[in-house]
Amino acid sequence: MLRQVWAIVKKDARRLWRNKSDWTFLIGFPLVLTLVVGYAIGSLYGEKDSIHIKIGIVNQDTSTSPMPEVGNVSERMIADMNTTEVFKPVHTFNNISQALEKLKFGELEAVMVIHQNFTWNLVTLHQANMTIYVDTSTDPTRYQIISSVINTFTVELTRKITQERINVANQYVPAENQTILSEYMWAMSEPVGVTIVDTAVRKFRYVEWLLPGILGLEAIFGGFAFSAGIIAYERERGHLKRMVVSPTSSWAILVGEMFSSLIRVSIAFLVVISVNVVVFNVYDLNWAPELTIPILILTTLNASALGLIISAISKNQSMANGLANMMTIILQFIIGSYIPVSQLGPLEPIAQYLPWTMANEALRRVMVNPIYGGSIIIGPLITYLAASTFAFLAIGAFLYKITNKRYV
Amino acid sequence: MIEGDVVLLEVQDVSFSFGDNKVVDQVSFSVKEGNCFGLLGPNGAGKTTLTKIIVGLLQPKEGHVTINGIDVHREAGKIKPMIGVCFQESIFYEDLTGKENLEFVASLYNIPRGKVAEAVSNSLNRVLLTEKDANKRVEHYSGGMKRRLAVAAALLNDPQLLILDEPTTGLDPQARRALWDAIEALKKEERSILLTTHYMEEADILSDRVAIIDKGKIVASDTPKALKDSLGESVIELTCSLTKSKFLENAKQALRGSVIVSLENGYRVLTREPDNLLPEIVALGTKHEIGLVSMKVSTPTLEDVFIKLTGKGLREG
Repeated sequence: MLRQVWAIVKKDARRLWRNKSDWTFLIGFPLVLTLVVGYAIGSLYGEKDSIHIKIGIVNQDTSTSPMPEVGNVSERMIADMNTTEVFKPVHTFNNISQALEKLKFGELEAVMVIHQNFTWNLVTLHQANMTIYVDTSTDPTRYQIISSVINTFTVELTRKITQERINVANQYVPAENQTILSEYMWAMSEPVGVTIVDTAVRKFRYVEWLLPGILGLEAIFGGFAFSAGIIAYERERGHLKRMVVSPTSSWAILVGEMFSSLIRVSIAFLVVISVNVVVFNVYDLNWAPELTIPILILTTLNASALGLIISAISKNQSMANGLANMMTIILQFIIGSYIPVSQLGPLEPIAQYLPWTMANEALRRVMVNPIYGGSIIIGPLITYLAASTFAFLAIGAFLYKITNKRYV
Repeated sequence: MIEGDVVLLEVQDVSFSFGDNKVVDQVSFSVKEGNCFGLLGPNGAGKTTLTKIIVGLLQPKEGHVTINGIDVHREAGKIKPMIGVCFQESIFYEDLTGKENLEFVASLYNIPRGKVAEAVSNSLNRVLLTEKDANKRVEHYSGGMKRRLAVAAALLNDPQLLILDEPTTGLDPQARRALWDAIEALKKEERSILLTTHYMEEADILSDRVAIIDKGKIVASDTPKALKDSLGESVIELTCSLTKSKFLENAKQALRGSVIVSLENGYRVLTREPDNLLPEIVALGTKHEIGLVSMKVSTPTLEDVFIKLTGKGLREG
């Protein structure tokens, strides 16, 4: 069987080598895609409206105000946040490391640490401090949103506390001096000192975040298109008939065709990586070939298996290619290739369960997360991807057998 | 069966339908080892469907097919290495050379790596294709070269049974003759061949035995000579510039006891008494202004056998 698989692969490789139009497509598509997305979206990608931020709070402030009516300001602040749609529900933690661990694994998007004596310092006209940790590696666009929201929140907090301080101070100064004091205090006010800490270890670059998504997209596109197209072509031109009457098993034909897709897609991978390295200077990623190559192979096989289903339900090669292209065009926007899944709004619940979203996420966790100090946990993603691949393969092989009978 | 002859292919009571349309109806025949068996019939007679059943691509609704005593549909794995199939259409990767296509087919048949070159070279020699031809891409081949390459591909695994499905369809007379020469050479090797064709001359020249098939049924089966002799009649061939249905109608009434059919450029009359009929035919032709160009009395061909059995010409379908 191996020899027959190899013969099919070799035959397709030879045909690919000689077919100029295939090469134009194979190199042209990833080249244009990478350049357009890299230059256009990569540089223009802007902020998006925030719906909700998953925030964790570590409240180290145990101090109380000398004025009983003020109470503990930090607790009041947390209670206020819990009524805000942006933050609700606020997750509280007893220690920083516990909260930062959640941030690292993407369960939280920001961690706010309210430091000791926060209330006392505020009320006694000292500066009260807090630190906000964010991780720019897991979802870069969210960083901008989170920073913007937290900034708005702290400005509002500062304004409110300054006003309260002025109210308290005004009780001890004559009425004619209250305006001057108020102006002076507004001018000097910075009651809350906010430090924002990015837990990622280096500055984020969108093109670096983008590369795994483009590789994933190529795997999916190539898998769909080549697998669906080649199988439909073989069937339409009668080659499948010749293979079927020979002592070559159906499995050898299938595996051979799928590996041919893999060879074609591998060329596209090389083009994408080369363009990113040469044009966009994206080379300092965690390439980890021992992980990225198996993920890319699995993703391509997954898409090829779906391509098999497409070819089985298509009447001819042009219908198979059309269906494969249509699916890719739609999927590219919802599987986290260019746009983070968290930005998809109502589509997010669907997108996050697509196997190709898992593939992109796994690639990103391997290639991008570590360079920003993030984690590589891909077990569940790969399991899901592998399970869906087997499911697609089983359905595809079943339909392949049925439809082949119809076409011989 | 003659004692000592070994039956290689046995088709027994095979029927097949596409929906309600019965395209193969209770067909039975056998091919002996070393013989060339011709299946002659017009387009749509069921020849290709029958071929597909024999090679295992289609499952018959009734009956069964055995090769060397092995059931084709129950033990397909054992049968596949024993047969070589040349399909009606040209199934090649046009952007590969003839040789590369053959190497690919050789791999499908598990021919040992070290023997592929030899097998390819032998096959090419048998169909009279040169090394230079073999190194050209198939897209640059003529129709005749493609058909010969198709036969070469079917020969790669040195099959016990070679199945040629309409091998010369669409070829010009010269290319057809070249392919016949190649098939004749294979016959000299005493290779067992099943040949389907709608060219009576092809079946006549190449086949040891012929089965005539029409509308999915075998209507006669014997050696070409025996089939022709069985008519015991002569043939009057009329070539005319016009064919008229009224002439055919009147001729059928006037020439009772004979069979007359309309062909592409004239008529064909099967009769036991050609001398008596000739004046009558000329008179009728003149009356109906059919533009009689020539008349010829000849011995019957397989087409005449087909005409006698079905009342129509092979090309009428």
